[in-house]
Amino acid sequence: MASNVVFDNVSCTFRHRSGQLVEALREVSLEAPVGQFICVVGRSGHGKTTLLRILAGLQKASGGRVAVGDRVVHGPGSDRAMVFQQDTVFPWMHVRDNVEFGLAAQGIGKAQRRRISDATLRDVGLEDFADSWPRELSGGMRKRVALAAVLAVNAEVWLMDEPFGSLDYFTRRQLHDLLLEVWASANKTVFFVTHDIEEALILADRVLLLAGGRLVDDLDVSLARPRDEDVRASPEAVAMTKRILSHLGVTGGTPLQPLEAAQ
Amino acid sequence: MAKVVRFIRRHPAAVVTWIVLLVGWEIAAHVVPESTREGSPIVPSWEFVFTDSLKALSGNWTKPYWAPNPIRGGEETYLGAFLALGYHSLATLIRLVLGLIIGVLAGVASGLLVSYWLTARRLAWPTLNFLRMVPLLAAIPLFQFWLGANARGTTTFIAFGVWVVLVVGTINAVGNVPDRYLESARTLGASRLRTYLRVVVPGAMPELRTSLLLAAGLSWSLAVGAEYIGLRTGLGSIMAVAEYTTNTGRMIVIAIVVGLCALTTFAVLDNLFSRLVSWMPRLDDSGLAQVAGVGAAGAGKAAGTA
Amino acid sequence: MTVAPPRAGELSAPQTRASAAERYRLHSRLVGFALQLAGILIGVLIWQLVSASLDPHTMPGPIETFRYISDNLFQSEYLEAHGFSEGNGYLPHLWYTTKNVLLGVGIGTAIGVTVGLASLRIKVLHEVASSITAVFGTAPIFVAAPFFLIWFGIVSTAQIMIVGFYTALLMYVFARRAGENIASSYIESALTLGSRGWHVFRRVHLPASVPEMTGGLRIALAGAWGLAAIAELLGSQQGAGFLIKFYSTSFVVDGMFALIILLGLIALLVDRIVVEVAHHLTRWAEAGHGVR
Repeated sequence: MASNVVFDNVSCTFRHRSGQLVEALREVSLEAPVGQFICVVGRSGHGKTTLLRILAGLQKASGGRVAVGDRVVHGPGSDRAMVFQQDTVFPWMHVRDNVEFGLAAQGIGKAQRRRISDATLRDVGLEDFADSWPRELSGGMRKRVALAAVLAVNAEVWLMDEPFGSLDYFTRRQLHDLLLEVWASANKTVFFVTHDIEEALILADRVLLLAGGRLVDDLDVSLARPRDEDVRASPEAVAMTKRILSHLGVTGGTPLQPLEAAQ
Repeated sequence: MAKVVRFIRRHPAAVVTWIVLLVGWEIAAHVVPESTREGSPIVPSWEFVFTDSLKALSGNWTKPYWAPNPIRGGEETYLGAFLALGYHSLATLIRLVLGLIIGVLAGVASGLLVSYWLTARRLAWPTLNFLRMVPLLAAIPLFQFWLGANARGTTTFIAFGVWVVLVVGTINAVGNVPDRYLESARTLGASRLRTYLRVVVPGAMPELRTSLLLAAGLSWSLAVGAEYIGLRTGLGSIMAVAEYTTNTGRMIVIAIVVGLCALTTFAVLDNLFSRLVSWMPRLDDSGLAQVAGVGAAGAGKAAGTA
Repeated sequence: MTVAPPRAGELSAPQTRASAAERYRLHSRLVGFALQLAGILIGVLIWQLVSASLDPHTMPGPIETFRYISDNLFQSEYLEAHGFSEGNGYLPHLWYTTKNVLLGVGIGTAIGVTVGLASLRIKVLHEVASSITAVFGTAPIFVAAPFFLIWFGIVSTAQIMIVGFYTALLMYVFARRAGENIASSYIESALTLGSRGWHVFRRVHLPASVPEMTGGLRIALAGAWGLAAIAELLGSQQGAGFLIKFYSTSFVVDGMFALIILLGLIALLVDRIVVEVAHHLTRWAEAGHGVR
């Protein structure tokens, strides 16, 4: 399979406000084929968001390079559109204008924008809310709008930074279903950052583990889809969970047994 | 010296801007034709400003000591000029500071009083809002007619203007205290008065900074404006005469002095205000805990007797 | 591409609660309106009491003022008797002042907002502009009025210049602060969707900063009326300020008072319009955000 996204020995070091030197990423190299759903897992502050932001072009790597297709990443662009954890649906625009935002930026004409936004809104189930204000929608619906905006620009790579983190459990599960559905038909590469292992096992083809800025593991999650409760309770799945947990420094884990942190 | 160098290095564009402006002014001074009145230039050069114009101010020092009196034939001296400037600056400052203090105290007090009852707040609002919109600078002749074109009248005028700003500002600040603080205090057992004094007032204080600085700026405009139109002492009065005689050099000197004095008053005011706010109970968990302490004590007593 | 239909419950609005909420809102709006009216009446009452308790001819009462205004607004016998041209009432003078204020504030806002928001991207711009605002922002702008009057011989030009200068300084600070307060995630989201330069400025920075900038605009307006009036007081042959000065030389308190009240009313009206327009522009905002 042709590689879509390539990280070549990427490092990111910057100076913290306090003067300390922080190595957010250390020599990360990986290749991702087209259409692969990748979850980037790790503890907070260990580099997952940095990796995503470098791929997005919002942050510069201090060493190595990142390429998408054949193009080296220099800055942000709609070929690597991103869904953020915060609510980034623009409240001063109607839902439709939000979805068409990236298209308008490219100068695409009104009629064509309309066609694309109609189709995209139908895909995410919001065709009745095209003319609503974002404040009239629930948090989960606003996430759908954010997703629709990414779909509309037909990005090659979908970047997601803990996008469902601020939503309640049930809404999150609903959005998992929606995301997997649209991904299946669009066949795009997805980089999905999360600290939630259950979420990773529901969504991913492949799990990348970051610890201390280093890529410490690369799991192939070849479980059957859909990843319902039975599949995730299978011995293979449990083994994967334990393997991920061991990397994150969590060995035990019941209310009676204290958790031990690894060095 | 090192500090200056550091400043220049950190803010190169700012330094360049000001050099360009000052040099541009000097160029304009030599290029723009002089006005016909008394040979005074439309754009005075810096040399002219800091020598002739500055010295000429000694004519305003009319006391018969410390420096020769130019009006009676004495020479113009820098000492005389600085004395004159100091005298008139003091005159302006006294009226201004007095007016500010009175206006602020009266404004905050009446604002807090009115805000205690929601109905009172809403009833008073239309009138106070209208008063705020009346441009007081335009009303200087009227106020001078009412209060007299003298020091006391001007001080009262300034105090009134400041009062309007602070009353409206206080009412707004009180209204902006987040509801959750009030609710929290009340559910902890604090009475309405205690909530108001210990939670609402400290919570509203920080927002008053904007009103305070606004009032300070306004008081300077009112003070200089009032002196401009009707008084014989104070920086504004010197400016008025200078403008009438198109003595631009003197106008610049006064403008610079006014600017420096205003800067000083703002800095002092800001400093005092910061001290006051830091002394007040902070509106956060520790502040609420103080209120809670009382509530809990009351609840404990009730529980003890149950 | 098919997608499962949206789950019920999440997407349907709570219809049943709407009417009760509407009734409550209507009720509280009526109460608010009644209190406002009562507040105005109380103000007028206090005015009457104060006026009556002072020496006669010190401060005209509400009824006197109303009569004086209606007598002089369109055509003033007093003014005509003192050499003004026929049919000259207060209105043309009030319009003169208003026009200059609006022009000055308009120009100043355009400059201040553009430079302020642009300075967030272009650092040099911020250095240059803030070095100017730091110095001139603190000094009472009134001090510059005489200079402007001398340099720009025509009073209306001087007025517009000084009001514009003052407004530009103020709006620079407010626009910049509003721009800084925009959540970075909004801007980053726009960038990752392919938006750049002018597009992101127009569709993200500007709309997001309207609420905060409105506050600055109202402050600028409040100061602008006084600045314009006093510029007229100093050297004009037209305008509300000029009329006030004219009346003051003959101690006609009724006239001075009436004009000041009128100026206040105009300022109030313009302020209200600004608030309403801003309210409309921010109708997307949730409660607590947007303009109050």
